[in-house]
Amino acid sequence: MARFVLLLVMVSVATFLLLELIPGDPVDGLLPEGATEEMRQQLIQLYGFDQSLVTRYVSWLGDLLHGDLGTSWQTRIPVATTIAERAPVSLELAVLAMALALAVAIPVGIYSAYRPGGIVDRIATFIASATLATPAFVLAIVLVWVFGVQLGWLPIVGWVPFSEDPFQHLRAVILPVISLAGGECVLFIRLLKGDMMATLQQDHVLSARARGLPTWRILVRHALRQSSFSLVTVSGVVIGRLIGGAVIVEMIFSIPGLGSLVVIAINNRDFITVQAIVLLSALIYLVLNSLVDLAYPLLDPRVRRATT
Amino acid sequence: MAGSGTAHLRASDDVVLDVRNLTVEYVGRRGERVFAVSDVSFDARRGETVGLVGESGCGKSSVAKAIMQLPPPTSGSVLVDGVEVTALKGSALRRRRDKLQMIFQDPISSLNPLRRVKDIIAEGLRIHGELSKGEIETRVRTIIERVGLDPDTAPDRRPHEFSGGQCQRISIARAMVLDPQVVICDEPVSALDVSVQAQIMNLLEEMKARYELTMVFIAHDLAVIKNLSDRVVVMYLGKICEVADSDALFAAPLHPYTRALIQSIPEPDPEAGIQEAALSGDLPSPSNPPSGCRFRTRCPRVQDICSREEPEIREAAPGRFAACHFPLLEAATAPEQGELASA
Amino acid sequence: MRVGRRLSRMVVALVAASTVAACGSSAAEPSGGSVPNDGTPRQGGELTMSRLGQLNSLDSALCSSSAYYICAALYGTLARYSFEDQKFEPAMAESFESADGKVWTLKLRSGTKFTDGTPYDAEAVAFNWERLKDPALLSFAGYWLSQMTWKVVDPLTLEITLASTNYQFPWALQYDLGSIGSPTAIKAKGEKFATEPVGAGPFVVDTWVPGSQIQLKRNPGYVEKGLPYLDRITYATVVQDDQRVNALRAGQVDLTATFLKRFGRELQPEGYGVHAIPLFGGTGLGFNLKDPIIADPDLRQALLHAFNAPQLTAAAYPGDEPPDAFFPKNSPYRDAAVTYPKFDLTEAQRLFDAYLAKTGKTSLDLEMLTYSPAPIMKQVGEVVAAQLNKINGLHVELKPTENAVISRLFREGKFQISVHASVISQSPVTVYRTLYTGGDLNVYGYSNPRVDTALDTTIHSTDANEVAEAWKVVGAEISKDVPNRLFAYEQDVILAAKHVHGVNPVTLYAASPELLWVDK
Ligand SMILES: Nc1ncnc2c1ncn2[C@@H]1O[C@H](COP(=O)(O)OP(=O)(O)OP(=O)(O)O)[C@@H](O)[C@H]1O
Ligand code: SF4
Ligand SMILES: [Mg+2]
Repeated sequence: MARFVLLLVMVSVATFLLLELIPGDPVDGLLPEGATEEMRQQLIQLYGFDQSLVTRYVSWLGDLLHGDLGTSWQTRIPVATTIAERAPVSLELAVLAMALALAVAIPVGIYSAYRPGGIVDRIATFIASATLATPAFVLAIVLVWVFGVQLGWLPIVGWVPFSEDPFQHLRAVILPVISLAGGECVLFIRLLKGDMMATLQQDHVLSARARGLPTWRILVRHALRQSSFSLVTVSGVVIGRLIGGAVIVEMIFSIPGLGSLVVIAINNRDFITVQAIVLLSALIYLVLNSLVDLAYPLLDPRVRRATT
Repeated sequence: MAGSGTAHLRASDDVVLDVRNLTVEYVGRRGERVFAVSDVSFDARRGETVGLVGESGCGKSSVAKAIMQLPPPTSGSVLVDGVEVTALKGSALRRRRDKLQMIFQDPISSLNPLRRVKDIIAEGLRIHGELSKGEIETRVRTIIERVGLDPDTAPDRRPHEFSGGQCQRISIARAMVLDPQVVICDEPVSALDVSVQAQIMNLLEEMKARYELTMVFIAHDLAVIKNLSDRVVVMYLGKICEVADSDALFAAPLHPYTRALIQSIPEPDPEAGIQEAALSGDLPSPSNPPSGCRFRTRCPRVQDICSREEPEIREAAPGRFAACHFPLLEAATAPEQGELASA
Repeated sequence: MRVGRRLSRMVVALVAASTVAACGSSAAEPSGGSVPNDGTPRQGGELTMSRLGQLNSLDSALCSSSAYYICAALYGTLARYSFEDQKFEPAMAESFESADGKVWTLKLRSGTKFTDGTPYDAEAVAFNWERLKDPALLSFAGYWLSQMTWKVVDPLTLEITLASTNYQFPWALQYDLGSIGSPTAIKAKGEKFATEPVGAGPFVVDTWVPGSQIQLKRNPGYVEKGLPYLDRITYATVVQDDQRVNALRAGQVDLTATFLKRFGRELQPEGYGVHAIPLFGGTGLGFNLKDPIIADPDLRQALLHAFNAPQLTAAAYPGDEPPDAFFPKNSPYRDAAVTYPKFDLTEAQRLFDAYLAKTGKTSLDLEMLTYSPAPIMKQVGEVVAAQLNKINGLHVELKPTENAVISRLFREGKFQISVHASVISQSPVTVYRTLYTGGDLNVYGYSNPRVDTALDTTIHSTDANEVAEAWKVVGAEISKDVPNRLFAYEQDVILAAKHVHGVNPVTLYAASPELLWVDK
């Protein structure tokens, strides 16, 4: 726990320093055209841009400890309010994209490992190599063109909250989720197939076959869990990455998540918002990493012995 | 060497395992063909233990796995109790499998690290048998006891909580609980401490006697199977060199390779010294085996014909089968054999 | 997005509009606005328009030309510029008049109410304007607020006194000063006013997903009779240009906007309504005349001769007409006799060599800024730098730079050449601010008494001919002095599905929401 807090403090200090390094005064980023020098000075006073970095950090940290993330310099809306609106959107996208990627990757990965060189493996390998250098946004653009423009099946504009219209919400979510899941899915298949092939070489798998266990049971019950270390480890990183930074996909589909917020905030030099998002992302990473660590012993009891 | 041929096979009702013309080929790392097992035949009678020996890489495990249909051999036939298992597919094969079990070399990797001992042992029964839960539990408990583990504490533990020797006991239990006819032991003790090797060997003997097992016992060193086997099959680079009853083989090997193997057994008598020259040179690659007799590159008795003609397995002496153009018909008179050959 | 637009405006160059109101003014018309002439408006229906920016705050303090679309909907605007008639007409205000262009009388319509029931009166207007002086609100109105005073004459009348004559003041009543929020709500809600706005405009918020889309519904109590026509209007954020056009083609939006002229050319034949507003300005090369090196006119002439506009246009804006003067060919303000220096590398080299000889230098290094966040700007910058570097002995280094940094460099006058999207507005005031000696947006340090005089005329005169003549002078002088060498004229284009009518295009991709109607 102490380590946790220390890490968060370090992250927040680092963010403060990094934002300080971004060239250009926050005031220049904030002030609208036509602002007078007097307004400039007032703004500097108001946000303490003339004070030392340490002073500003201490006061920010003080507010934070009182549960106050501050108010956006840009919109004057409390940062906590904005994040509370947007974090669930990013979280939902990330979770759905993860679920989709895993739902495809697990069976395909297993089958590719079971029949390397078979049709499933060949198709998966072909798609993987064809899309290797294809970032999510290219997939997004292709999907939009096909399903949004040509076929007109799915919306490419607008985000309908689930609470407002669950059906429209799901329709709005499909393309972004597929775009996000695509690349990760390829990665997951590769990891799982690799580990799975190694596991399938092990004698206990041969032994299971020797005892006449059905193939699916061997693959799923015996081999999968043992082969999912890399998958679980990487999943933790990926979901963190998806929550904090599905920036481009959020921009393409105009999704009001954290990714697009952070871009706008950085552009506008709304550092108080950036600061909060970075801290939140760090927190999410730490939590996910801890969850991954907790998952290892479930995957392999030997880990428990090693760590305790 | 080269032992194609089936002269050594016995025609008798009590042959439980009959392996004929078994060939296993792999595709190697660089896409080359690896001739791991080439035309190997042997048989085993009910209750018999057949020792399969040869250097590392000669194809013993490949033979074992081919018999197990894990995966099925490239070609050849395997009859278990008269049933051609290579012809079986899917669930028919699965139902047949409990007749044929295997014990692996590495006690750790052969047990699923994630499962409890009782589940490891019971799983085969659950899938196959029509046994009730209670019956399965009793059987599992009994077998755990028989292999020498504590039936009260062992079932709920996982493999990593056991030593290598104990893991091998679990493997044995897992195989025996299915009541197999044939058990293939692929170097079951070579990964274990010398101190526990004997215990496991004894356990296997005990099991064999209790369940009237037919056993194929694989080892890379003759010493291990000397006492255990009724019959010994010597392999070299994917082929059979010699087949004989254990005692006869050790007393007077016919094949130059067999002799070299026997000579390389460290003598307990320090006086005898170590037979250095027993086997020199490297094992040729199975992807590019020598022509004629595969052993010719290392054979002290090699002649021209050895590279041209592959020796078939033949009955060189009564009850003695070897695949060599110049078998050691009188072990004591090896130099004469040389003269004879050159004549 | 907001910053980009704003910045580009600072940079300015202006231009040409075949339109441009000669003066503000105008007598009050009793009711409803003049409707773009395309049929008899129908009541009802709904419409979705895609927007390129994310909407993160609905506070009226942020109203300006870039937020017009939402401000006009929620708060209304005091004045409305009719694109078709090329003049201002009353909207929330009943009238805004001035005898001398200095003292203005703003009259409100009686009985106007905010949606919380409180009166939309002179006090409310005064309260809002006073509020905008708070620098934390980041209002765009600073330019106006710093040169005007006002007093409430009676509940429906304000008297505004400008520091100097300006007949273009109504632009402020449409944009920066034009949107008035309920003082009661502003006081009561504090920071929450940004998310729970209360205005008196033609629409009210129905649902809002910040950063994505906002659905507005008709305000039945809206003061202009018969308006708005639509029951519902939705603004959906679509950041990418291609994506906006995709959505229009897919029928998912009814209206969209772009600054890429090619989309207009593409969609017009497909039957879409294409409403282009020519604006003052465009994208170009800005020169810092205060920089000791750039200040040399011979050197600038050398650079201008080395710049190959047709080649750049072909590379970056295929199909467009390469600008050859401050006003485009079809502008009534264009002085045909004066164009930018022509591409002539030999001449460029000659002038440059003379410059070197004169200054005793053997070579010259220059820096050229460009916006780093916009890939197109970087590409354009690369092409231009390569063209200039054809001059032997000259090395122009491209410096992709962040918006906020460019703002500072401009403010401090610390740059040499800059490639900037100088997207401007319809408003001549912006030209004034950009090219007048000491103007707050005059980043070039440009000063030309003849231009100053002409610019004064554009805001001091009410005589259309006089104003047009003045613009001609401005165009000619700027094309000669070239503080900014335009290479793409700016045009905001609104693209509309066939069933959309009543498009009164407003700068920065908006259409007056209260005038839109659909027949479908
Ligand atoms: N899956 C495989 N793919 C390719 N080559 C293989 C494969 N399995 C085994 N081989 C090769 O086939 C030959 C025979 O291997 P095998 O494992 O049967 O020998 P072994 O006698 O059991 O050796 P050891 O005593 O080391 O266990 C070796 O050369 C080995 O490298
Ligand atoms: S004597 Fe010839 S045939 Fe016999 S083992 Fe040696 S090489 Fe092979
Ligand atoms: Mg082996």
